[in-house]
Amino acid sequence: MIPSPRVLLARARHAQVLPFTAAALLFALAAVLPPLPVPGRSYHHLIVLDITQSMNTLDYEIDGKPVSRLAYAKRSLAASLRSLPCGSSVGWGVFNEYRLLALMTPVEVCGNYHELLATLSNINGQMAWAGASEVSKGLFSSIRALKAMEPAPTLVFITDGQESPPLHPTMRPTFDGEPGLVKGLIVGTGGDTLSPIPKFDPDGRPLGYWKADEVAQTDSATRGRHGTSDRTENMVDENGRAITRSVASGTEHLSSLKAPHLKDLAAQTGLEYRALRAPEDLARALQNPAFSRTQSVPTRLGWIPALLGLLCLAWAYRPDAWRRSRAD
Amino acid sequence: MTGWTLGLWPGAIEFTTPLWLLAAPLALLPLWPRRRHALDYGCVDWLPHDRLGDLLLLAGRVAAALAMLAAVLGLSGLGQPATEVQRTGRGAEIVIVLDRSRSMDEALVPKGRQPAIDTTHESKGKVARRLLGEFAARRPEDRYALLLFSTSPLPIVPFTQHGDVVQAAIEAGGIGRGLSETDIGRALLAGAEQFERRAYSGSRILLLVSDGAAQMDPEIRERIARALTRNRIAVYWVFIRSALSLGLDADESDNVPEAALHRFLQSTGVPYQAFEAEDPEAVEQAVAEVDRQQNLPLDYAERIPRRDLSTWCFVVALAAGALALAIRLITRPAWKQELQS
Repeated sequence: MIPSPRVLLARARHAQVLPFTAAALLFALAAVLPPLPVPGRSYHHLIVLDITQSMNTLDYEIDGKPVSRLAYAKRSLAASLRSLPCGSSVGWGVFNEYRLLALMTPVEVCGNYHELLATLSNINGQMAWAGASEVSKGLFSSIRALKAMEPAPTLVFITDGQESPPLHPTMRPTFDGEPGLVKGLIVGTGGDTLSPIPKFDPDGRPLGYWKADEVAQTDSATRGRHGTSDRTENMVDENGRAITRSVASGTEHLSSLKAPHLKDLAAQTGLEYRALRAPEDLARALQNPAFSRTQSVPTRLGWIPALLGLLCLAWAYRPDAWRRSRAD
Repeated sequence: MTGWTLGLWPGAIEFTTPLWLLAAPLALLPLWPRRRHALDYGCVDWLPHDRLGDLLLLAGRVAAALAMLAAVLGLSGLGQPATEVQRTGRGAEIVIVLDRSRSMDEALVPKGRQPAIDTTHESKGKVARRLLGEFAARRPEDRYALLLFSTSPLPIVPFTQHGDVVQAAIEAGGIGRGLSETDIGRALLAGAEQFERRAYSGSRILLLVSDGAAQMDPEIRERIARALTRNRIAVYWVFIRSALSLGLDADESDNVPEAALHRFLQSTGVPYQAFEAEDPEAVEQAVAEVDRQQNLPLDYAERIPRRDLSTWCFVVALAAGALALAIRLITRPAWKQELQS
């Protein structure tokens, strides 16, 4: 009743049986194929949020309600984390005064998503340990700190670029590192027009808005040794030349996105610059191929033979109508 | 492509790539009535009705349909979603309150040695981070929260069982120099308040890691003592001695802030113990102490990782496909060709 092996083999290779043979072999392959290392892209970011008071400025909107720059940045970050491929890692830091405070070195995003969000939600203006906001120095020192990390993550520096006290037009902190050694991105937050900056006490209670006479309106070089000597005395630079006094704008208590300043900082340090207009901007910017690292990720590939096997069977049982029209 | 989860009895199932399910109707193809199995044979009356053959052919078609369906399910990434199961183990909930003030950047000078400009000693912060890292690694079942403090308390990680997150927060303390001030009073209060409005599950520990203290006014002492007692928190202080410090047992008349804090914590009535970090066995001691004291039943959520079932789908596809093939092989597919061959 059962044909001989020779006949069976001949039948197995027969045009009508061949799809079945192939399908069985492909399904067997799909079932036994172990996960294979396939190179995949991953990202390793240390995300630093500016938590100075200007970041409380309400010039963004979520669902029609005005929200602060910090709240909008946090909301965009939470959405962006979801879109990073698994195996990527993210850490947090905050910027205030003139320096970075790292809160968490990068950890894997998919497994620790809720933990990363919990730490992100803890980040707020009350974390600030000083009142100043020296963005340039903060950025430069962050780059130095990241360079020392092994392996160095990408720096994502989220700020509005508002320097307080303001910078002198020529006497500015300069970047002394090697541009581009630490890769990264400056994300500019804030609106195009000047808005008042809400004022809070150290416990986060609102105190209205900052007024013109409550913030430094001129840079420290122009102010000179205020109070200690003659107010007409001019400061000199390292070569002994008198420093030209800058003219105070009188608007330092108001804030907008300082895009030219941030672009200049980005050019000096070899970072990218992107203004935050929509949460998707950030998600896309975080997945800039220039920031990616290629690493082997064990990947299940069983689906490929399984799909081919499925197509074999579908071919074997293709509808008669199609079969006849082809035969004709 | 996003996953798709179905809540089905007895447990949920999940598809990682549900779009493949659109291919499921392909599995109906083998069951479609067709004429192609009608053999070209001159006189059907000669043949008896082959019941077994009919049955075999039907079984083959069903097997093929089953194989295709299983393959589609496998392609769409069938699996059981990750779940959390509430379990009760033994352990503690630990709030780490870590000093991030500038003084922690100084070298830890062994007892009795003169402080010198000496880079051979590890900084106090580094010692603290190493000790904490070891501690957290030694007690992985515990739940940890981490709070930095300097001028103000900075809550970093709320309670979590993810060891790598805790280690990452400890490690981050090593980036950049310390901040300026030390407000230990507000830090202790913030640490104690982490337990506020939290169901009591397992022993509660506040692990203070600091190199010194500051004088605290009676009001904040009172608030700290109340918060510790109310939330039933045990306090462990890993004290990292500064050079020239008189230590925790200094006389009250010497007006040493760390000794004052030591006495205050002893007076709160909650379980309290101090460990001196320069002692190489400090971690061992601390772990042993926590092991001995703090192993009340701890309710914790055990995370059951996602179970992928696609490989099993492919195994089913293989079995059913092999059956379909076997039936094909033992039946004559097409009389004519076989005769010719």
